[in-house]
Amino acid sequence: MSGEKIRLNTEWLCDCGGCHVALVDLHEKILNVLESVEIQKCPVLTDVKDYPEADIGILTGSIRTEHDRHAAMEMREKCKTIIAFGTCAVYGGLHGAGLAHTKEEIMDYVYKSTPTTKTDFIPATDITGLEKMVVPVDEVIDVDLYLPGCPPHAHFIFESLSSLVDGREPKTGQETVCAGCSRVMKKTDVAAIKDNLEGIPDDDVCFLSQGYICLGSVTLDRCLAPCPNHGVMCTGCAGPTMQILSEPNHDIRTEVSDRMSRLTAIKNEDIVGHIEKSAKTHYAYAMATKMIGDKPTFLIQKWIAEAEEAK
Amino acid sequence: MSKTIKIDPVTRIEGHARILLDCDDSGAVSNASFCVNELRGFERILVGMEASSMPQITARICGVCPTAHHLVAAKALDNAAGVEPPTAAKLLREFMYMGHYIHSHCLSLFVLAGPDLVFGLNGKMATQNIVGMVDAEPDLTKKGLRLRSLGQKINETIGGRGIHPVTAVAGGISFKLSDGQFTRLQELTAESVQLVNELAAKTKNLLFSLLDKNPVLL
Repeated sequence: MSGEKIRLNTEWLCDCGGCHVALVDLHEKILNVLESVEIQKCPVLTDVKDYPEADIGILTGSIRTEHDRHAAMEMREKCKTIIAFGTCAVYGGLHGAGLAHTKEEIMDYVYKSTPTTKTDFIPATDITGLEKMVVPVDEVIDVDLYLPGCPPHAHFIFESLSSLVDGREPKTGQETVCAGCSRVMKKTDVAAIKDNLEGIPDDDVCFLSQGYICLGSVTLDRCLAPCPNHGVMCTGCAGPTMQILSEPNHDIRTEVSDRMSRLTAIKNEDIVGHIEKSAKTHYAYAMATKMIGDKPTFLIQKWIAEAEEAK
Repeated sequence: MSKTIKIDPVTRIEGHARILLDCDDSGAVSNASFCVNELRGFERILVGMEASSMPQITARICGVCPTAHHLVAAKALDNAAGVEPPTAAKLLREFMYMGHYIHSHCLSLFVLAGPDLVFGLNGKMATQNIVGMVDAEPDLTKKGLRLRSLGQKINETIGGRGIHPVTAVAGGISFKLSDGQFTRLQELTAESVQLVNELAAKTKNLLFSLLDKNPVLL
Protein backbone atom coordinates (compact mmCIF):
# COMPACT_ATOMS: atom_id res chain seq x y z
CA MET A 1 0.00 0.00 0.00
CA SER A 2 1.19 3.50 -0.66
CA GLY A 3 0.08 6.95 0.39
CA GLU A 4 -3.26 6.96 2.15
CA LYS A 5 -3.53 5.12 5.43
CA ILE A 6 -6.10 2.38 5.85
CA ARG A 7 -8.97 3.67 8.00
CA LEU A 8 -10.00 1.32 10.82
CA ASN A 9 -13.08 1.30 13.02
CA THR A 10 -13.55 -1.11 15.88
CA GLU A 11 -16.61 -1.65 18.03
CA TRP A 12 -17.40 -4.00 20.89
CA LEU A 13 -20.81 -5.59 21.22
CA CYS A 14 -21.77 -8.09 23.93
CA ASP A 15 -18.37 -9.32 25.12
CA CYS A 16 -15.74 -9.22 27.84
CA GLY A 17 -13.50 -6.65 26.13
CA GLY A 18 -10.67 -9.20 25.87
CA CYS A 19 -10.52 -9.00 22.08
CA HIS A 20 -9.89 -5.27 22.25
CA VAL A 21 -7.22 -5.88 24.90
CA ALA A 22 -5.74 -8.47 22.51
CA LEU A 23 -5.50 -5.80 19.80
CA VAL A 24 -3.65 -3.50 22.19
CA ASP A 25 -1.59 -6.56 23.22
CA LEU A 26 0.15 -6.46 19.87
CA HIS A 27 2.33 -4.29 22.15
CA GLU A 28 5.25 -2.73 20.29
CA LYS A 29 3.95 -4.31 17.08
CA ILE A 30 0.89 -2.07 17.31
CA LEU A 31 3.22 0.79 16.41
CA ASN A 32 4.10 -1.10 13.17
CA VAL A 33 0.41 -1.52 12.41
CA LEU A 34 -0.19 2.18 13.09
CA GLU A 35 2.30 3.13 10.38
CA SER A 36 -0.18 2.00 7.75
CA VAL A 37 -3.48 2.13 9.66
CA GLU A 38 -5.40 5.11 10.98
CA ILE A 39 -7.50 4.16 13.99
CA GLN A 40 -10.74 6.15 13.93
CA LYS A 41 -13.45 4.72 16.16
CA CYS A 42 -12.11 2.39 18.84
CA PRO A 43 -13.78 2.53 22.27
CA VAL A 44 -10.61 1.74 24.22
CA LEU A 45 -8.25 3.98 22.27
CA THR A 46 -10.12 7.01 20.94
CA ASP A 47 -13.04 9.25 21.89
CA VAL A 48 -14.88 8.97 18.55
CA LYS A 49 -18.50 8.20 19.40
CA ASP A 50 -20.10 8.01 15.94
CA TYR A 51 -19.21 5.74 13.04
CA PRO A 52 -16.93 7.38 10.44
CA GLU A 53 -16.49 5.87 6.94
CA ALA A 54 -13.76 3.22 7.14
CA ASP A 55 -11.95 0.63 5.07
CA ILE A 56 -11.86 -2.05 7.75
CA GLY A 57 -14.29 -2.60 10.61
CA ILE A 58 -13.47 -4.97 13.45
CA LEU A 59 -16.49 -6.18 15.42
CA THR A 60 -15.97 -8.07 18.66
CA GLY A 61 -18.76 -9.63 20.73
CA SER A 62 -22.11 -11.08 19.84
CA ILE A 63 -25.58 -9.59 19.53
CA ARG A 64 -27.44 -9.66 22.86
CA THR A 65 -29.27 -6.31 22.95
CA GLU A 66 -30.92 -3.87 20.57
CA HIS A 67 -27.89 -1.65 21.23
CA ASP A 68 -25.57 -4.37 19.86
CA ARG A 69 -27.77 -4.90 16.80
CA HIS A 70 -27.80 -1.19 16.01
CA ALA A 71 -24.02 -0.86 16.44
CA ALA A 72 -23.37 -3.83 14.12
CA MET A 73 -25.62 -2.34 11.43
CA GLU A 74 -23.93 1.07 11.70
CA MET A 75 -20.53 -0.59 11.33
CA ARG A 76 -21.68 -2.55 8.26
CA GLU A 77 -22.97 0.60 6.63
CA LYS A 78 -19.75 2.54 7.17
CA CYS A 79 -17.01 -0.11 6.73
CA LYS A 80 -16.00 -1.68 3.42
CA THR A 81 -14.69 -4.88 5.03
CA ILE A 82 -16.10 -6.31 8.25
CA ILE A 83 -14.11 -8.74 10.40
CA ALA A 84 -16.01 -10.80 12.95
CA PHE A 85 -13.23 -10.86 15.54
CA GLY A 86 -13.16 -13.39 18.37
CA THR A 87 -15.32 -16.36 19.25
CA CYS A 88 -18.29 -14.25 20.45
CA ALA A 89 -18.57 -12.43 17.12
CA VAL A 90 -18.09 -15.62 15.10
CA TYR A 91 -20.05 -18.21 17.12
CA GLY A 92 -21.80 -16.31 19.92
CA GLY A 93 -19.18 -17.08 22.54
CA LEU A 94 -19.39 -18.40 26.08
CA HIS A 95 -22.52 -16.47 26.99
CA GLY A 96 -24.23 -18.32 24.14
CA ALA A 97 -24.83 -20.79 26.98
CA GLY A 98 -27.45 -18.24 28.03
CA LEU A 99 -29.60 -19.84 25.34
CA ALA A 100 -30.22 -22.61 27.85
CA HIS A 101 -32.36 -20.07 29.74
CA THR A 102 -35.04 -17.57 28.85
CA LYS A 103 -34.06 -13.91 29.00
CA GLU A 104 -36.61 -13.42 31.80
CA GLU A 105 -34.92 -16.16 33.83
CA ILE A 106 -31.53 -14.48 33.35
CA MET A 107 -32.78 -10.97 34.19
CA ASP A 108 -34.67 -12.19 37.26
CA TYR A 109 -31.72 -14.16 38.55
CA VAL A 110 -29.18 -11.39 38.00
CA TYR A 111 -31.20 -8.49 39.39
CA LYS A 112 -33.32 -10.17 42.04
CA SER A 113 -32.48 -13.66 43.22
CA THR A 114 -28.71 -14.18 43.37
CA PRO A 115 -27.70 -14.53 47.04
CA THR A 116 -25.36 -11.53 46.84
CA THR A 117 -27.86 -9.21 45.12
CA LYS A 118 -29.61 -6.76 47.40
CA THR A 119 -32.02 -5.22 44.89
CA ASP A 120 -35.40 -6.72 44.08
CA PHE A 121 -36.27 -4.93 40.85
CA ILE A 122 -35.09 -4.89 37.25
CA PRO A 123 -34.03 -1.38 36.16
CA ALA A 124 -36.63 -0.36 33.63
CA THR A 125 -35.37 2.57 31.63
CA ASP A 126 -31.61 3.01 31.87
CA ILE A 127 -30.46 -0.36 30.58
CA THR A 128 -31.09 -1.88 27.18
CA GLY A 129 -33.00 -5.10 27.75
CA LEU A 130 -31.78 -8.42 26.43
CA GLU A 131 -33.07 -9.73 23.12
CA LYS A 132 -34.63 -13.16 23.19
CA MET A 133 -31.55 -14.86 21.72
CA VAL A 134 -27.76 -14.47 21.70
CA VAL A 135 -26.62 -14.54 18.08
CA PRO A 136 -23.31 -14.25 16.21
CA VAL A 137 -22.69 -11.08 14.21
CA ASP A 138 -23.45 -12.67 10.82
CA GLU A 139 -27.04 -13.32 11.86
CA VAL A 140 -27.53 -9.56 11.70
CA ILE A 141 -25.12 -8.26 9.04
CA ASP A 142 -22.92 -9.66 6.25
CA VAL A 143 -19.42 -10.51 7.42
CA ASP A 144 -16.37 -10.60 5.14
CA LEU A 145 -13.76 -12.27 7.35
CA TYR A 146 -13.93 -14.47 10.43
CA LEU A 147 -11.24 -14.66 13.10
CA PRO A 148 -12.37 -16.80 16.04
CA GLY A 149 -10.32 -17.26 19.22
CA CYS A 150 -10.98 -16.27 22.82
CA PRO A 151 -9.16 -14.05 22.14
CA PRO A 152 -7.22 -14.99 18.99
CA HIS A 153 -3.48 -15.27 19.68
CA ALA A 154 -1.42 -12.23 18.63
CA HIS A 155 0.19 -14.37 15.91
CA PHE A 156 -3.17 -14.69 14.11
CA ILE A 157 -4.21 -11.07 14.73
CA PHE A 158 -0.97 -9.71 13.31
CA GLU A 159 -1.18 -12.01 10.30
CA SER A 160 -4.79 -10.98 9.61
CA LEU A 161 -4.16 -7.26 9.90
CA SER A 162 -0.90 -7.41 7.91
CA SER A 163 -2.57 -9.38 5.12
CA LEU A 164 -5.36 -6.81 4.87
CA VAL A 165 -2.85 -3.96 4.86
CA ASP A 166 -0.78 -5.71 2.17
CA GLY A 167 -3.87 -6.66 0.19
CA ARG A 168 -3.21 -10.41 0.23
CA GLU A 169 -5.01 -13.52 1.49
CA PRO A 170 -4.29 -14.20 5.18
CA LYS A 171 -2.19 -17.30 5.81
CA THR A 172 -4.36 -19.12 8.31
CA GLY A 173 -4.31 -22.88 8.76
CA GLN A 174 -7.19 -25.16 9.64
CA GLU A 175 -5.26 -27.20 12.21
CA THR A 176 -6.84 -28.28 15.46
CA VAL A 177 -5.40 -27.47 18.89
CA CYS A 178 -3.85 -30.97 18.84
CA ALA A 179 -1.42 -29.80 16.13
CA GLY A 180 0.26 -27.50 18.63
CA CYS A 181 0.05 -29.88 21.60
CA SER A 182 3.21 -31.72 22.66
CA ARG A 183 1.38 -34.63 24.31
CA VAL A 184 1.51 -38.07 22.69
CA MET A 185 -1.59 -40.14 21.97
CA LYS A 186 -1.30 -43.75 23.08
CA LYS A 187 -3.62 -46.68 23.65
CA THR A 188 -4.31 -47.25 27.34
CA ASP A 189 -6.54 -49.50 29.42
CA VAL A 190 -8.16 -46.57 31.27
CA ALA A 191 -11.69 -47.79 31.91
CA ALA A 192 -13.58 -44.74 33.18
CA ILE A 193 -13.85 -41.02 32.44
CA LYS A 194 -12.03 -38.90 35.00
CA ASP A 195 -13.19 -35.58 36.37
CA ASN A 196 -10.79 -32.78 35.38
CA LEU A 197 -9.60 -32.54 38.97
CA GLU A 198 -9.14 -36.25 39.58
CA GLY A 199 -5.52 -37.33 40.05
CA ILE A 200 -2.51 -35.57 38.55
CA PRO A 201 -2.39 -35.95 34.77
CA ASP A 202 0.79 -37.23 33.09
CA ASP A 203 2.45 -34.25 31.35
CA ASP A 204 3.48 -36.16 28.24
CA VAL A 205 0.41 -38.23 27.38
CA CYS A 206 -2.75 -37.11 25.54
CA PHE A 207 -5.53 -36.19 27.98
CA LEU A 208 -7.98 -38.42 26.09
CA SER A 209 -5.65 -41.42 26.55
CA GLN A 210 -5.69 -40.69 30.29
CA GLY A 211 -9.49 -40.53 30.51
CA TYR A 212 -9.87 -36.75 30.67
CA ILE A 213 -12.30 -34.93 28.33
CA CYS A 214 -10.22 -32.53 26.23
CA LEU A 215 -11.71 -30.67 23.26
CA GLY A 216 -8.37 -30.07 21.51
CA SER A 217 -9.14 -32.47 18.65
CA VAL A 218 -12.41 -30.73 17.77
CA THR A 219 -11.26 -27.14 18.26
CA LEU A 220 -9.72 -24.82 15.68
CA ASP A 221 -6.22 -23.64 16.61
CA ARG A 222 -6.32 -19.88 17.01
CA CYS A 223 -4.35 -20.00 20.28
CA LEU A 224 -1.14 -22.05 19.68
CA ALA A 225 -2.34 -24.66 22.20
CA PRO A 226 -1.39 -23.10 25.54
CA CYS A 227 -3.84 -25.12 27.64
CA PRO A 228 -2.74 -28.74 27.01
CA ASN A 229 0.88 -27.55 27.14
CA HIS A 230 0.23 -26.18 30.64
CA GLY A 231 -1.55 -29.18 32.10
CA VAL A 232 -5.10 -28.00 31.37
CA MET A 233 -7.64 -29.65 29.05
CA CYS A 234 -8.84 -27.64 26.04
CA THR A 235 -12.29 -26.17 26.66
CA GLY A 236 -12.95 -25.35 23.01
CA CYS A 237 -12.85 -21.58 23.33
CA ALA A 238 -11.91 -20.87 19.68
CA GLY A 239 -14.93 -22.82 18.50
CA PRO A 240 -15.23 -26.09 16.60
CA THR A 241 -13.41 -27.09 13.40
CA MET A 242 -15.12 -26.72 10.01
CA GLN A 243 -15.56 -30.49 9.86
CA ILE A 244 -17.68 -30.41 13.01
CA LEU A 245 -19.60 -27.34 11.91
CA SER A 246 -20.33 -28.36 8.35
CA GLU A 247 -21.27 -32.03 8.58
CA PRO A 248 -24.67 -32.76 10.13
CA ASN A 249 -23.61 -36.10 11.56
CA HIS A 250 -20.41 -34.87 13.14
CA ASP A 251 -20.54 -33.14 16.46
CA ILE A 252 -18.28 -32.31 19.40
CA ARG A 253 -19.45 -35.35 21.36
CA THR A 254 -19.33 -37.84 18.47
CA GLU A 255 -15.80 -36.84 17.44
CA VAL A 256 -14.38 -36.78 20.96
CA SER A 257 -16.02 -40.11 21.83
CA ASP A 258 -14.76 -41.76 18.60
CA ARG A 259 -11.19 -40.77 19.32
CA MET A 260 -11.28 -41.31 23.08
CA SER A 261 -12.91 -44.74 22.87
CA ARG A 262 -10.18 -45.88 20.47
CA LEU A 263 -7.45 -44.58 22.82
CA THR A 264 -8.91 -46.07 26.02
CA ALA A 265 -11.10 -48.92 27.22
CA ILE A 266 -14.03 -46.53 27.76
CA LYS A 267 -17.17 -47.26 25.74
CA ASN A 268 -18.14 -44.81 23.02
CA GLU A 269 -21.70 -44.40 24.34
CA ASP A 270 -20.45 -43.68 27.86
CA ILE A 271 -18.39 -40.78 26.54
CA VAL A 272 -21.29 -39.44 24.46
CA GLY A 273 -23.54 -39.67 27.53
CA HIS A 274 -20.98 -37.91 29.72
CA ILE A 275 -20.59 -34.98 27.28
CA GLU A 276 -24.37 -34.66 26.91
CA LYS A 277 -24.71 -34.44 30.70
CA SER A 278 -22.11 -31.65 30.79
CA ALA A 279 -23.21 -30.12 27.46
CA LYS A 280 -23.59 -26.63 28.87
CA THR A 281 -19.84 -26.61 29.62
CA HIS A 282 -18.65 -28.32 26.45
CA TYR A 283 -20.86 -26.58 23.90
CA ALA A 284 -20.95 -23.14 25.53
CA TYR A 285 -18.69 -21.24 23.15
CA ALA A 286 -20.48 -22.24 19.96
CA MET A 287 -24.02 -23.22 20.84
CA ALA A 288 -25.37 -19.85 19.64
CA THR A 289 -24.30 -20.48 16.05
CA LYS A 290 -26.91 -22.11 13.84
CA MET A 291 -24.18 -24.40 12.56
CA ILE A 292 -24.34 -26.14 15.97
CA GLY A 293 -27.78 -25.09 17.20
CA ASP A 294 -29.59 -26.34 14.09
CA LYS A 295 -27.99 -29.79 14.03
CA PRO A 296 -30.76 -32.36 14.25
CA THR A 297 -28.84 -34.24 16.93
CA PHE A 298 -28.10 -31.21 19.14
CA LEU A 299 -30.65 -31.47 21.94
CA ILE A 300 -29.18 -29.04 24.45
CA GLN A 301 -32.44 -28.18 26.25
CA LYS A 302 -33.22 -31.87 26.75
CA TRP A 303 -29.70 -32.69 27.98
CA ILE A 304 -29.68 -29.81 30.45
CA ALA A 305 -33.16 -30.68 31.74
CA GLU A 306 -32.11 -34.31 32.20
CA ALA A 307 -28.89 -33.34 33.96
CA GLU A 308 -30.76 -31.03 36.34
CA GLU A 309 -33.40 -33.66 37.00
CA ALA A 310 -30.75 -36.25 37.86
CA LYS A 311 -29.40 -34.06 40.69
CA MET B 1 -35.78 23.68 29.73
CA SER B 2 -35.05 20.29 31.23
CA LYS B 3 -32.87 17.96 29.22
CA THR B 4 -30.80 14.80 29.42
CA ILE B 5 -27.10 14.88 28.66
CA LYS B 6 -25.99 11.54 27.31
CA ILE B 7 -22.38 10.34 27.09
CA ASP B 8 -22.60 7.14 25.08
CA PRO B 9 -20.32 5.35 24.97
CA VAL B 10 -17.91 6.46 27.68
CA THR B 11 -14.60 5.89 25.90
CA ARG B 12 -11.11 4.98 27.10
CA ILE B 13 -12.36 3.07 30.14
CA GLU B 14 -12.04 -0.61 31.02
CA GLY B 15 -15.48 -1.65 29.85
CA HIS B 16 -18.80 -0.78 28.24
CA ALA B 17 -20.70 2.11 29.84
CA ARG B 18 -22.80 5.19 29.28
CA ILE B 19 -23.64 8.16 31.48
CA LEU B 20 -27.00 9.91 31.61
CA LEU B 21 -27.40 13.27 33.34
CA ASP B 22 -30.92 14.66 33.73
CA CYS B 23 -30.92 18.45 34.11
CA ASP B 24 -33.81 20.57 35.34
CA ASP B 25 -35.03 23.92 33.95
CA SER B 26 -32.22 25.84 35.63
CA GLY B 27 -29.59 23.47 34.22
CA ALA B 28 -28.86 21.82 37.58
CA VAL B 29 -28.41 18.05 37.56
CA SER B 30 -31.56 16.42 38.95
CA ASN B 31 -30.63 12.79 38.37
CA ALA B 32 -27.50 10.98 37.22
CA SER B 33 -26.93 7.41 36.18
CA PHE B 34 -23.91 5.41 35.18
CA CYS B 35 -25.06 2.39 33.18
CA VAL B 36 -22.83 -0.61 32.68
CA ASN B 37 -24.86 -2.25 30.00
CA GLU B 38 -22.86 -5.41 29.63
CA LEU B 39 -25.21 -8.02 30.95
CA ARG B 40 -24.48 -11.53 29.84
CA GLY B 41 -26.00 -13.33 32.80
CA PHE B 42 -22.96 -15.20 34.13
CA GLU B 43 -24.77 -15.47 37.47
CA ARG B 44 -27.31 -17.78 35.84
CA ILE B 45 -25.22 -19.28 33.03
CA LEU B 46 -22.60 -20.75 35.38
CA VAL B 47 -25.17 -22.73 37.35
CA GLY B 48 -25.12 -26.28 36.00
CA MET B 49 -21.68 -26.06 34.41
CA GLU B 50 -18.80 -28.27 35.54
CA ALA B 51 -17.21 -26.75 38.64
CA SER B 52 -13.71 -27.77 37.59
CA SER B 53 -13.97 -25.57 34.46
CA MET B 54 -14.88 -22.46 36.44
CA PRO B 55 -11.41 -20.83 36.54
CA GLN B 56 -11.30 -20.92 32.72
CA ILE B 57 -14.91 -19.86 32.30
CA THR B 58 -15.16 -17.06 34.87
CA ALA B 59 -12.09 -15.38 33.33
CA ARG B 60 -14.43 -14.54 30.42
CA ILE B 61 -16.42 -12.22 32.67
CA CYS B 62 -13.83 -9.57 31.86
CA GLY B 63 -11.05 -9.55 29.30
CA VAL B 64 -9.44 -6.54 30.96
CA CYS B 65 -9.07 -8.18 34.39
CA PRO B 66 -9.39 -11.90 33.57
CA THR B 67 -6.65 -12.97 35.99
CA ALA B 68 -8.67 -11.70 38.97
CA HIS B 69 -11.74 -13.73 37.96
CA HIS B 70 -9.57 -16.73 37.12
CA LEU B 71 -7.82 -16.78 40.49
CA VAL B 72 -10.95 -16.15 42.53
CA ALA B 73 -12.68 -19.12 40.91
CA ALA B 74 -9.64 -21.29 41.69
CA LYS B 75 -9.73 -20.11 45.31
CA ALA B 76 -13.44 -20.91 45.49
CA LEU B 77 -12.62 -24.44 44.29
CA ASP B 78 -9.83 -24.70 46.92
CA ASN B 79 -12.38 -23.78 49.58
CA ALA B 80 -15.04 -26.10 48.23
CA ALA B 81 -12.60 -29.00 48.16
CA GLY B 82 -11.16 -28.03 51.56
CA VAL B 83 -7.61 -28.01 50.23
CA GLU B 84 -4.71 -25.63 50.83
CA PRO B 85 -2.45 -25.08 47.80
CA PRO B 86 1.27 -25.67 48.40
CA THR B 87 3.40 -22.57 48.98
CA ALA B 88 4.97 -22.71 45.51
CA ALA B 89 1.52 -22.68 43.90
CA LYS B 90 0.36 -19.78 46.05
CA LEU B 91 3.45 -17.80 45.09
CA LEU B 92 3.02 -18.59 41.40
CA ARG B 93 -0.60 -17.45 41.55
CA GLU B 94 0.48 -14.24 43.24
CA PHE B 95 3.29 -13.74 40.73
CA MET B 96 0.81 -14.25 37.88
CA TYR B 97 -1.42 -11.65 39.46
CA MET B 98 1.42 -9.15 39.84
CA GLY B 99 2.14 -9.53 36.12
CA HIS B 100 -1.50 -8.84 35.39
CA TYR B 101 -1.42 -5.91 37.79
CA ILE B 102 1.41 -4.27 35.85
CA HIS B 103 -0.35 -4.95 32.54
CA SER B 104 -3.71 -3.61 33.68
CA HIS B 105 -2.36 -0.54 35.45
CA CYS B 106 -0.23 0.38 32.45
CA LEU B 107 -3.33 0.10 30.26
CA SER B 108 -5.14 2.48 32.58
CA LEU B 109 -2.27 4.85 33.15
CA PHE B 110 -0.75 5.10 29.67
CA VAL B 111 -3.35 3.93 27.12
CA LEU B 112 -6.66 4.99 28.67
CA ALA B 113 -5.90 7.97 30.95
CA GLY B 114 -2.51 8.74 29.40
CA PRO B 115 -3.80 11.11 26.71
CA ASP B 116 -5.54 13.20 29.41
CA LEU B 117 -2.32 13.32 31.45
CA VAL B 118 -0.28 14.45 28.47
CA PHE B 119 -2.72 16.76 26.69
CA GLY B 120 -4.97 17.87 29.58
CA LEU B 121 -8.73 17.53 29.66
CA ASN B 122 -9.41 19.82 26.70
CA GLY B 123 -7.10 18.34 24.10
CA LYS B 124 -8.11 17.82 20.48
CA MET B 125 -10.16 14.69 19.89
CA ALA B 126 -7.98 13.68 16.93
CA THR B 127 -4.84 13.45 19.06
CA GLN B 128 -6.33 12.58 22.47
CA ASN B 129 -5.25 8.95 22.10
CA ILE B 130 -2.25 6.61 22.16
CA VAL B 131 -1.25 7.63 18.61
CA GLY B 132 -1.12 11.30 19.58
CA MET B 133 0.83 10.34 22.69
CA VAL B 134 3.49 8.50 20.69
CA ASP B 135 4.07 11.72 18.73
CA ALA B 136 4.04 14.04 21.76
CA GLU B 137 5.82 11.86 24.32
CA PRO B 138 7.57 9.07 22.40
CA ASP B 139 9.86 7.98 25.23
CA LEU B 140 7.19 7.85 27.93
CA THR B 141 4.65 6.16 25.65
CA LYS B 142 6.98 3.53 24.24
CA LYS B 143 8.33 2.68 27.69
CA GLY B 144 4.78 2.55 29.06
CA LEU B 145 3.72 0.15 26.32
CA ARG B 146 6.87 -1.89 26.88
CA LEU B 147 6.19 -2.14 30.64
CA ARG B 148 2.61 -3.16 29.88
CA SER B 149 3.88 -5.91 27.58
CA LEU B 150 6.30 -7.18 30.26
CA GLY B 151 3.44 -7.48 32.75
CA GLN B 152 1.41 -9.44 30.24
CA LYS B 153 4.38 -11.69 29.45
CA ILE B 154 4.77 -12.50 33.17
CA ASN B 155 1.05 -13.22 33.37
CA GLU B 156 1.27 -15.38 30.25
CA THR B 157 4.38 -17.28 31.32
CA ILE B 158 2.65 -18.43 34.52
CA GLY B 159 -0.98 -18.37 33.39
CA GLY B 160 -0.41 -20.14 30.08
CA ARG B 161 -2.29 -17.33 28.38
CA GLY B 162 -2.29 -13.59 29.07
CA ILE B 163 -5.91 -12.79 28.36
CA HIS B 164 -7.94 -15.55 29.98
CA PRO B 165 -5.21 -17.45 31.85
CA VAL B 166 -5.81 -21.14 32.55
CA THR B 167 -3.30 -22.65 34.98
CA ALA B 168 -4.85 -21.99 38.41
CA VAL B 169 -6.79 -25.12 39.36
CA ALA B 170 -8.30 -26.41 42.59
CA GLY B 171 -5.39 -27.09 44.94
CA GLY B 172 -2.72 -25.17 43.07
CA ILE B 173 -1.20 -24.65 39.65
CA SER B 174 -1.46 -27.09 36.75
CA PHE B 175 2.09 -27.14 35.44
CA LYS B 176 5.72 -27.21 36.57
CA LEU B 177 7.76 -24.10 35.90
CA SER B 178 10.70 -25.06 33.67
CA ASP B 179 14.22 -23.67 34.15
CA GLY B 180 13.77 -21.69 30.95
CA GLN B 181 10.54 -20.17 32.22
CA PHE B 182 12.16 -19.37 35.55
CA THR B 183 15.01 -17.50 33.85
CA ARG B 184 12.54 -15.69 31.60
CA LEU B 185 10.54 -14.53 34.62
CA GLN B 186 13.73 -13.20 36.23
CA GLU B 187 14.53 -11.23 33.08
CA LEU B 188 10.99 -9.89 32.73
CA THR B 189 10.93 -8.84 36.37
CA ALA B 190 14.33 -7.12 36.23
CA GLU B 191 13.37 -5.12 33.15
CA SER B 192 10.00 -4.21 34.72
CA VAL B 193 11.66 -2.84 37.85
CA GLN B 194 14.07 -0.80 35.75
CA LEU B 195 11.26 0.64 33.61
CA VAL B 196 9.10 1.51 36.62
CA ASN B 197 12.04 3.45 38.05
CA GLU B 198 12.45 5.31 34.78
CA LEU B 199 8.73 6.06 34.38
CA ALA B 200 7.65 6.83 37.95
CA ALA B 201 8.86 10.42 38.36
CA LYS B 202 7.61 11.62 34.99
CA THR B 203 4.23 9.94 35.42
CA LYS B 204 3.83 11.32 38.93
CA ASN B 205 4.57 14.83 37.65
CA LEU B 206 1.97 14.49 34.91
CA LEU B 207 -0.62 13.27 37.43
CA PHE B 208 0.07 16.06 39.90
CA SER B 209 0.07 18.70 37.20
CA LEU B 210 -3.32 17.46 35.91
CA LEU B 211 -4.69 17.73 39.46
CA ASP B 212 -3.17 21.19 39.96
CA LYS B 213 -4.82 22.42 36.78
CA ASN B 214 -8.13 20.72 37.55
CA PRO B 215 -8.71 20.79 41.32
CA VAL B 216 -12.28 19.64 40.67
CA LEU B 217 -10.89 16.16 40.05
CA LEU B 218 -9.88 15.80 43.69
